[in-house]
Amino acid sequence: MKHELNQEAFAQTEGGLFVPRGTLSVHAQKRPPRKVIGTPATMTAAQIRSVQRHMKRQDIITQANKRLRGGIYARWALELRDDKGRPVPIGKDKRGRDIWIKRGPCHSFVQNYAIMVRGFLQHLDTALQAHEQITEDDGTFHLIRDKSINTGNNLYATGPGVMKFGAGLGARDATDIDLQGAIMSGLEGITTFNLVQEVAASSIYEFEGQVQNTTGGLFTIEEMGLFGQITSNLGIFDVTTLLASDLTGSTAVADTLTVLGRYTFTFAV
Amino acid sequence: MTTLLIPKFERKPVILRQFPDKRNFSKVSQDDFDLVLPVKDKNGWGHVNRLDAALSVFAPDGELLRQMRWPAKSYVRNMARIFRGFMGHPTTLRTQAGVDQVTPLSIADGNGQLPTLALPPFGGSGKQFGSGAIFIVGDGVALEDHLRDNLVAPALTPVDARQGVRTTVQSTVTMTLQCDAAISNGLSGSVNVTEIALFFNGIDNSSQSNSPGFYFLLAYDGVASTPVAAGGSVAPRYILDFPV
Repeated sequence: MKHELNQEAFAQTEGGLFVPRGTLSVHAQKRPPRKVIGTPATMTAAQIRSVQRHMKRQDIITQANKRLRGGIYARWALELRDDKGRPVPIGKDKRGRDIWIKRGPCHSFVQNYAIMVRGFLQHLDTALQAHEQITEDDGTFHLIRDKSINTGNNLYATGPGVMKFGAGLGARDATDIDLQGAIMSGLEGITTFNLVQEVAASSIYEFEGQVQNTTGGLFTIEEMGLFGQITSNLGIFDVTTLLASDLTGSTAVADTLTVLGRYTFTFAV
Repeated sequence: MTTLLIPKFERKPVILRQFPDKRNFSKVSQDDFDLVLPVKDKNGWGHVNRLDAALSVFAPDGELLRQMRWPAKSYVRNMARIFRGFMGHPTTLRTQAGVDQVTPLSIADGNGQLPTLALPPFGGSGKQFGSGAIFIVGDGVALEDHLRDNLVAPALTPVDARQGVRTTVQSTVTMTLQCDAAISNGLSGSVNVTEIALFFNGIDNSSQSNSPGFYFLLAYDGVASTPVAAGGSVAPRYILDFPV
């Protein structure tokens, strides 16, 4: 008795195998060609920004909505750019593939930050006229939040925040007032703000700051920090106040490259 | 003659705590109620701070009846906007009435102002809740919503009590703030507290000392129905911990 294959029930793969219809394996299935728009060296600036915005926004929203419940969370990110603004690999992973962005959890909010929150929540008492005291990154003490509310000197955060990068490796301490090894004499990158989303489940936003290496040589980043620019009760502007700092792992920044840091906050119900 | 010994009835307070990632409350000792728990990161995201909410209920004679503590998860939209205001970004807040209110937070150098309320000192007028942050409790029920502007059904406000912010811990590893108030039930009947909220007073961008001010919500939590008898009091509390 000759057995013949039921041609209707089976399909033949490109390699000549017969498999039940509807069950072609991944390896046998012919995939559509992958759309390639070029490497960062050949992409236009607009294409780069478009891809980065899409990946970044989706990644943030997906992670925040799926996994974060309750409270405030933050993370830092680090990227490099060349002198034309194009992304530059930070390093290689275990398989030798380029790493384009470094990320990590941020939880090094120092006492200055808590003091600002406390000053904000304090019940006002005109009789006391007490002030909160924060510490500038050079160690100078500043009084803020004049509680004598009718004097016209009720000044607090003013000016955009800044970001700094450093080479210090020590453990973070709640009493830190500056990075442990600020590079380029503590050059500050003015931060820009980006609101990712504000919906019933969460608010997500980012602060980005960048600094270009103009030293003529290479330096290595080990830490990054987020600073507020506060005005003291005496009207002293732009008191650079450390709010958070994080160890980032070693990142080499060659001459003319720009290092871009980002802090992403999520407030989730 | 036989002396009958009648044991004295002592009503002990019920102390409950909901631990992180647990759905139910557990009966705990007072020590465990005050215990500071380690903070955990979440899948590559670090914690900015740990926020715990607590509620204490007192009988009219001042006896502690019940205490509850749970991980709060309710920093609402305004708190997020204020935090970004610390970084110099102009901030619009939503008032208790759901209206966008421009505040002078973080504008040009020298002009940035915290939303502070220029009102008579607390207690000087029976019409004002007072300045700084205030607590309001309610008996409404709704899902927790990050975009909330007000309680579902406000019931009791601390008209005669000041809200207090205390620094309970300040060290090289953390700083802990405790924000609480005592609210009396001056109504003729019991109130079932099912929600607590933390508000703040603000002024508009006219920056005038006689500005009428407005309230905006900072944090909100639902709580299992907690009866507060007429004449009794309830003490909501938020514990903000900022560990490195």
